[in-house]
Amino acid sequence: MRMRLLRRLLMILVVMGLPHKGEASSAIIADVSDRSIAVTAGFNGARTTLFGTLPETGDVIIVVKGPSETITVREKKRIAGMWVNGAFHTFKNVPGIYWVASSRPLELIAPDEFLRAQQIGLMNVSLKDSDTPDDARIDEFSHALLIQKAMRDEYTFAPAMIHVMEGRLYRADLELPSSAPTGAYIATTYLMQDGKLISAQQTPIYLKKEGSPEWISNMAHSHSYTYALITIVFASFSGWFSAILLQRR
Amino acid sequence: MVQIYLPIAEMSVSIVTLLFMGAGVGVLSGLFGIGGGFLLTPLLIFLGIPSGIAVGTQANQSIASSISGMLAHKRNRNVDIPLALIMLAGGLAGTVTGSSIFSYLQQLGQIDFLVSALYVLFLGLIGFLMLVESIDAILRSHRNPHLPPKPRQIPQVIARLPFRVNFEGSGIHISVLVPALLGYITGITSILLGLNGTLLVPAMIYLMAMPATVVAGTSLFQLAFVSMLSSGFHAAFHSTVDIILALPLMAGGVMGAQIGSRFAGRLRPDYARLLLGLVVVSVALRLLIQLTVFPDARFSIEVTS
Repeated sequence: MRMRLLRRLLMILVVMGLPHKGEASSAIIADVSDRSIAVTAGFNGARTTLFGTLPETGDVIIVVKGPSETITVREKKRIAGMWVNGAFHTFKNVPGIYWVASSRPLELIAPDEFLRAQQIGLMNVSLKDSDTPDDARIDEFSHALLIQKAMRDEYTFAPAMIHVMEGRLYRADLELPSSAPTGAYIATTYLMQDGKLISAQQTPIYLKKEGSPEWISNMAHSHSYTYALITIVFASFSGWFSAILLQRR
Repeated sequence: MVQIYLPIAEMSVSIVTLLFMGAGVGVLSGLFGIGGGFLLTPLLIFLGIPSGIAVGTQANQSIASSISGMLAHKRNRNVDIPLALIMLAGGLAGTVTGSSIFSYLQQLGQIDFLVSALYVLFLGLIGFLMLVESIDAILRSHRNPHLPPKPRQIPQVIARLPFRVNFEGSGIHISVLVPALLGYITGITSILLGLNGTLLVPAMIYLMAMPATVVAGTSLFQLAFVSMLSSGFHAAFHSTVDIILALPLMAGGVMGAQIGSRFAGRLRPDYARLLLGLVVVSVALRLLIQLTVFPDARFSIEVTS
């Protein structure tokens, strides 16, 4: 931790000292306005700014991936006139959130092979079912997953906008829906020139429950018997209390 | 629209929507003495709440609404306590059975299909019978307003069962097996489908010929305790009770239930049964259409861990 901080400070000094020629340091300096986002009782999604400086001018792409999830995709099929769950695939290590932003349309910035290899852009996110990797229909199921996630605003269809100022400073606004899973997010910033990768930098962002949501979630999962009792007593009391209250009037 | 964050469902919803939803279901609950779970669970799923959390939280909120409703009926001495206790014993056993069926179906990955199919079957059947019977009763009273309503009789097969007891509160003479078995079945459907009073109330009216005045209070008594066990199982073993989600539903629900039970006294019983029959049949039809014509989407995704 301390080493990284030291290196980061050093880099800032280097960049400030050598404002023009990029040979001295080819690293991007990337940061987020909120490294840690609190999920409190009033949480309704979050908005934070990703910004930084580039060692030289070029195009910028940022990809943010949320904590991994295991997701089962089921297909409905018709049996005797009724829609029943039929074939399914379970995908492991699926990013809970997938957000992408770019300074220009992706296809103008980088060649397809690069975008596919780095999984940049919704349709380049590659998902694998480790149990049945050879199934011919796996692509159909993984596309269905991407579309369903995009419909919940958990994945972005079209890249968000990155503003580049003076050719060296960049800024983009990351928006997370209220259903964003808690945990560690990784933002990867790519600097591209003429379709080639010049430099990349990763920044972590943490989404964490705080206050009453943290307490309730912790009770429900780690002390489930106590929580069960509390919720029963609480509901019974509300019912009893409301009956008395409304009788008086 | 004030949004609140649900710590267990891990998403935000509008508190106003939840209050109105709770109130709407509460009105029906107060009117007919049904749990309203058959409406609330699908509504919560429609909001995007995962189905397990919808069922678990609905069980929790129905503790509050049934206790509140039961106390209102108890003031009017409309609860047959001995009968309710027998149904409760069956109900608790049914909840335990239902809990293991639930886990088994979840492993098969067919729980949502089976839940929808059972809903259509139970609700369709009950709703249809109620419609036929109540329309018949209304027509009879229109033809001859002075004719006393046809006394309902316990079906022959049921009347012949052994261990018959006199239940004074309801004024019926019936085998204890009937309420015990009814309680057992509703216990299972309660934890599986969130269907409790919806099944119990018509059964008490048509199979046990109980007078309408005691039906609602007695079913709410049984329901209060079955919901406690159901909610407890969901919270302790599946972590599927979201207290922040339950809170506005309860607040809306108790207010709605008071409105409902105030109207219950003014509504003629045959019209009340016609209304309930219509509500039940339309929910069944909506689910049937979804099951056979248009599913929500061809593919569905579920976060499994």
